Formats: sequence, C-alpha cells, structure tokens
Amino acid sequence: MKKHKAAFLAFSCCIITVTAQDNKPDLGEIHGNFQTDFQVYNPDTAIGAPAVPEKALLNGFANLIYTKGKFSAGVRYESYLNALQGFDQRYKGSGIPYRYATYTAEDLEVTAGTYYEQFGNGLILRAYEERSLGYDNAFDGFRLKYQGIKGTTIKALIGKQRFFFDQGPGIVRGLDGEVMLNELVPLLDSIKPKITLGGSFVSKYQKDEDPLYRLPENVGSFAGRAGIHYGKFNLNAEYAYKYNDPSANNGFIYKYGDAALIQASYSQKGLGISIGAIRSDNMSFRSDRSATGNALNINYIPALTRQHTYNLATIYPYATQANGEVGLQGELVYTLKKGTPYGGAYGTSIIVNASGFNSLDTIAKTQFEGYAAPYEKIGDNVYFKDVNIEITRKLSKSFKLTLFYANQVYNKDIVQGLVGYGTIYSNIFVVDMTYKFTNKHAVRTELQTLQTNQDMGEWVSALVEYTISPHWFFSVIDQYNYGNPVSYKQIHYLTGSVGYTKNSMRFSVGYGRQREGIFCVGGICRNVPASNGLTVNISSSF
Amino acid sequence: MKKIFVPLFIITALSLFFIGCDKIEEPFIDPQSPLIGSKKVLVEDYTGHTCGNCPEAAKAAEELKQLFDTQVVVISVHAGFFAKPKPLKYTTDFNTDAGTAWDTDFGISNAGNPNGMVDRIDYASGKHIKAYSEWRGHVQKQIAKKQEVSLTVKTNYDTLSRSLTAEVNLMYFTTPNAEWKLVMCLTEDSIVNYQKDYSKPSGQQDISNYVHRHVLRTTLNDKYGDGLSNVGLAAGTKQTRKYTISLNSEWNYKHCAVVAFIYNVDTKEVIQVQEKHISH
Repeated sequence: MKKHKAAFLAFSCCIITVTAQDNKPDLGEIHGNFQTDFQVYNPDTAIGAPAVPEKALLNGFANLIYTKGKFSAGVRYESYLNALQGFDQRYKGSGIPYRYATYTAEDLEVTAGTYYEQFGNGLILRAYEERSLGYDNAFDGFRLKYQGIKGTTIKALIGKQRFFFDQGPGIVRGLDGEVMLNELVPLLDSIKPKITLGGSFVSKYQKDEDPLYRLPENVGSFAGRAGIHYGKFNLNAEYAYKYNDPSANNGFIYKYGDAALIQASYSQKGLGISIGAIRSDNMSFRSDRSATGNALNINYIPALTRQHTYNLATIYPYATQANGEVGLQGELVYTLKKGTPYGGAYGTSIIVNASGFNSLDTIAKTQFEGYAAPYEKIGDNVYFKDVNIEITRKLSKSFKLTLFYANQVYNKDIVQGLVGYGTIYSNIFVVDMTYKFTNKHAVRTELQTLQTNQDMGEWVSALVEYTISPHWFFSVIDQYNYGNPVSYKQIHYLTGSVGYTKNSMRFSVGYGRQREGIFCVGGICRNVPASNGLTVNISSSF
Repeated sequence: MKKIFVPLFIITALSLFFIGCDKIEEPFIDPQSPLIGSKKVLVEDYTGHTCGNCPEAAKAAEELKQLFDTQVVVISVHAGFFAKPKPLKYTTDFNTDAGTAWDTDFGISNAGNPNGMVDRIDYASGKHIKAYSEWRGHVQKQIAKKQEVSLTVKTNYDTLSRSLTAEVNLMYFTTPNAEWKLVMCLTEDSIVNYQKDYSKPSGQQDISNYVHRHVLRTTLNDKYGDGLSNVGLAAGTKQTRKYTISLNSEWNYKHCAVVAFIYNVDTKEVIQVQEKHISH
C-alpha cells in the first residue's frame, strides 16, 4: 500500500509540473475526476440501523488520465476509510488499484496495466466498474487490439482480476474477433443490411489445490454472435458455452454451462419497440472457483428488466440468476404527437414494459453432473415479473404530469437467496408532477404507493423537490411503511437534502433515514442496510 | 505490419484453444489423495455369558483396540447356547434379533464359542469363522487396504425422550461394482454383570462384576441393512442416511455407541465401519 501512495504522490508532482507548463501544447492533456461519499451514522433501533464504531465512513476516488497523441496513461486512487455500510467490507484502506498505459502503433493498440473489456454482450467476458455497487472486476495484465484488416477487430488479453486491493488467484486469457461483413467483403458493401459476426474464446487458469477432487485447472468458454442492422431494425443474438467449471456457486458440479441471448428492436420517430429473451444455465464464471458475492466475475449475464427510478418501484428489484433462468422482456415507447386530440397541446409519451423470469426446468442427475435442463421446457418457479406503464404528458407550458403503474411478482427467496419469505405480489402507483414557476424555478412532487399483502406490507412515499437552475436543488422525501404487519415497524423514513452544482462540481448534503433493502444496477445487486445520519457527496471533474 | 500480425493472432487463437480447457471425466476425485486413508476393520466377537473361554477372546479384542486404536471397531455378539439366560446368576438376556440371525447365518456358535469374524472375510470359501488367535493377523491385512468409502456418523440424543438420531454420511472413493448395504448397530459398553470365566480357579468362575465390552444391543435399521443403490456411482459421490430409535430404559446412554458398517451383499465382506459414542 505504501508503494502505491508513493507512486500517487510522484504522479501528482508530475501533473503539477505538466500543468504549470501547459502553455506548451505538445505536452499532452490531463483530465480527471474525483468523488467522495461521506456518511455519519447514528444508531437507530427503530429501523434496525446498527451503531457504527467509526461513526463516520467514507468512500472516495480520484481518476487522473494523461493523453498525448496515441499515448494515454492513467491512475485511480481509491479510499475506503472505512467502506460505507452496504459496501463489501473487504474494501479497506487506500491505494491505487487502477493504473495503465496505452499506445497505438500502426493498427495495434497495446494496453499494459489495468483495463476494462467486454466481448460481445459479455456472456463470457465483461470487466467493468459500477461504483454505486462497489463492483469492479478490472483485469490487470496486457491487452492487444488489432484493427489492421478492414472491418475487423481482434482483441487478445491476459490478466488477473481485481479483488478489492488485491488480485484474484486465476489467470484469464481471452480472444475476441468481430467482423463487419459489409466492410470486409467487397460484394456486400452496397447491400443495405449491415451484418456483424463475432466470436470469442475465454479460458481461466486456477491451480487445483483441492486435496480430494480433480478440478479443471483450465476452464474454457466460447461464444458466437451475429447482428443485423437494417434501417430502423436491429437484431442481435449470442450463444455462449462454458466447459466444466465446478465452483462454490454451482455446488461443485462438473456440468457445462451455456447461455443464449436474443434481442430485437425497431425504432422510428415517436416509436420504439424492443424485445429480448435470455436463457442462462450454470453460467457463473469467475476467476476464483471459491469466490462469492460480486467478486471476480469474468462474465456478465445481461439483465432484461426495466431499471426503475421511482423509489417504491425499486424495493423489489430483480437480480440476475447466473445459475439458471429463462427471461423475456418487451418494451414499447410511443409518443403521441403534439397538437392531436390524444397527444394534447404539448405531446404525450407512453412507455409500456413487461418482463418475466422463471426457473429452468431441471431434472436431477448425479452429484457430479448436477442436473439436466432441457431447452424445450421452462421451469414452473416464477422468479420475477414486472408489468409497468408510464405516461408523461405536458399539460401546459409550465406543468408536466407523469403517471406510473407497475405490477410486480418477486420471489424473494430466490432473488435474495433467503428462506421463508416467499413470493411478493405488489402494485405500485406513482403520480409525478413538475411545475415550472419561471425558467429557473421549478417544483417537482412525487406521490407513490406500493400495495402488497406480503413481506413489509404497504408503503406510501411523498417527495417534494425544488430546483433553482442551474445551481441549487432542495428535496424532502418521506417513505412511510404504514402497512407493515409488525406495528412497531410502521415507520417514517424521512430524508432531506440540498445540492449545489456549478460547472462540473457537485455538492450535496442529506440527512435522514435510509430504509433497508437491495440496490441493483443491471441485475447486479448489493444489500443496503438501514441507516440514519448525514451524508455528504462531492464530485468534480476537469 | 499486417503480414506479421494476422498469423500471430491466428497462432495465439489456436494455442488458446489447445491450452484453454481441461475436460474432467470420472473419477472426479484423485485416487492418490492423502485424504483417502486406510479402512477401519470390524471385529465381531461371538460370545455368551456362560461361555467360560470367552473372556480370553474379549481380552484379545481389547488388545486389538489398544494396538490399532479407533481403526478397529469391536462388537460383542451374545448369541447361541452360551448366551441363553439361566436361573439364579445368568438371568440377563443379552441376545438380540440381529445377533441371533447373524450367528445362525454364519454358523458361528455351532462351530463353538468363542469365535468371531474379521470384516466377515472369506465367506465364499467357508473360512469366515476366525478363532481369536487369528484376529490380529487378519486385522493387519484388512487395515492395510485403502478405504473405498468413508463413513461419518453424527448423533443427537435427547435425554428426556431417550430418542437417538444418527446421521450417516458416506463418500465413495471408488466406483462400486457390487451392491452394498448399510447396517446400523447400537452397542453398549462396560455392562457389569455375571460372566463365566474358566481362567479363574474352580469355584470362583462365576464373576459377578465382569465388565462386558461393546455389547450389541439392537440395530437401528434392518439387521441385513439398507441397500445403498450404489452400483456405478461415481467416485466422490456423497450420500446421507438418517435413523432414529428410542433407547431402552435399561441401557446407559453414556456408554452407548452407534456402529455403522457397510458390507458387500455378494461376498458379505465388510467394506467400511465407523463407531460414534452418543455422549461425546
């Protein structure tokens, strides 16, 4: 860790030197951004917020990226002093987990150090960072990207994955090729459908140190994909296969894994339609076979659900079940033209979205084979369903109204890996109104309710947000769990916050109660414990 | 540049395909694993309280326990003529259904007491009845064998209801090609009662405070065991079985143990045995 700090200081000194001489253009450019999230915790037995020994915790990072022509290098300094509640507590202390240098010579781009990457839809390889989840599975090693043949991109990589401030034990090797057929094949360059084909191979190595079992040290996986883009129409499909990969996630079975994803969309002015289907089976793929939580994932199974923003619609979010799921999603976005009887004077937009996830239909096999899951059947166990509609209409120059309704089915035991909670059936209604007093002053209110007979029962939520553009916002939100079957848990979660933004600098302060729950982005989730206290968020970039 | 890179990438790609994947077939466990230790050995001492030569066999069994510690499991089976209760002194009935059936099947008391079996070996050749003087040699041979299956026994005893639950966990280290059965026995140790002992001077041969060791009390399942449906199971497969019985009020649970053993249905040979005292 000390070494990292020294490197950071050295790097900072370089920046000062560089910026001090920035009248010379050939020295390149430095950009960066920084963010700190600081929270003071008060114990609050009513909501189950524990006493935090440190009383205050902080997550923070700063990115610095230097570019000059075909060369770029960057570092990220991160601090967890200590990690905020709800983040993996293995993030501890400060350090530089991310540093890289990239240069391009001819058609070859070489990256040494830390990098993020995605092959296709990510079914066998996707390294990315999602700070709000504390998710970072970056590779550290080498990556080559070659674009020397017209219409083709070839990527080759090797690296170990980030494991908090350390690295996972496995070595990941990957190769990906993508061809835009219309560019590569001269005969096809004039035809209208644009066809893309791609294929990838990923292998991880981890020593077999098990005293008894013979484990595969090299676990291979491959994927093939095709995409057609034809005017307003898009279609892409990918299939991935993973060889035997006994791990803590699948109960050490030697079964293969596979996943199929197909997505189609059509869009024109005022209309967008998209449908997608996914089937994944035993596709948890990590560079450490004993890893749990969100650590050391090599791949990513896309989430085909709507990412909700209204807070009561996020109480029961779906988490991707990499061990096995079959899912389907459809979405229609339609704008009723302004000036028509349906569209009103200012136009109306409608979003209808529906998604559903079920288990695989499995037949138990031996301890080592695990199970068989025939493709032609879908399991009876419903994991998640969400049908929602959102209508937004501007009623006058100064008044905008959004109505939202969602009907959700949520198998809490499966999605959260718990026992005894069962399935929750809920209806969510939201009325969202924005009124502009002047060009600069606006007030927005949200009134929401979640109706259910299960779990924590009914909720109502009210939000008032006052914005003075472009700098200030003030908001108060109260979430009230009035229908909780346990009377002392019928609690108000009241939070107030103030924010100030200037250029790229943003500063916000909040105070109040945070309800316990899970927070998901793209089907990856983390637990959020109940908390009560002051939060301060500062971010800026240059 | 292109001329160099294209073949280079092709070579990389091919090499990845070659190195990138290990497909593991059976066995899924490593036969050389140090975790696969040697088997335990079951010594059955067929005895009776009026059998005056039997205390010598019991001594031999105790010597085996001292020599091989927990690698040897002893069961004393009271069965046959010498095990019959007799008026005045030898009134306690140590016979059991299971013990009597085994004694008949293997013809042991017919051949005379004391006699016994070591892992019930040599049944096919009819030489399965072993005099106690032979036990040690056979134990040594049996103990040198690698275990084909591991047995662990967990017990839970409720002193109020006298209900005993035994959970047995098996793990196969080889793929069995013959049918095996699991027998669950309950033994009671250190029962103080009468025993005839010819090594004592005449007139003092009725020992009133003789300590009977490892006495078979009952079985938790059928005396011939439960089939394990084990033929062809992959090495590494795990199985669990659970049994519950009520302890007789005359048995001292603090001295009771569960003895689980697996035998080959064709050869009768005991494949593995395990002993678990219920109070510790």
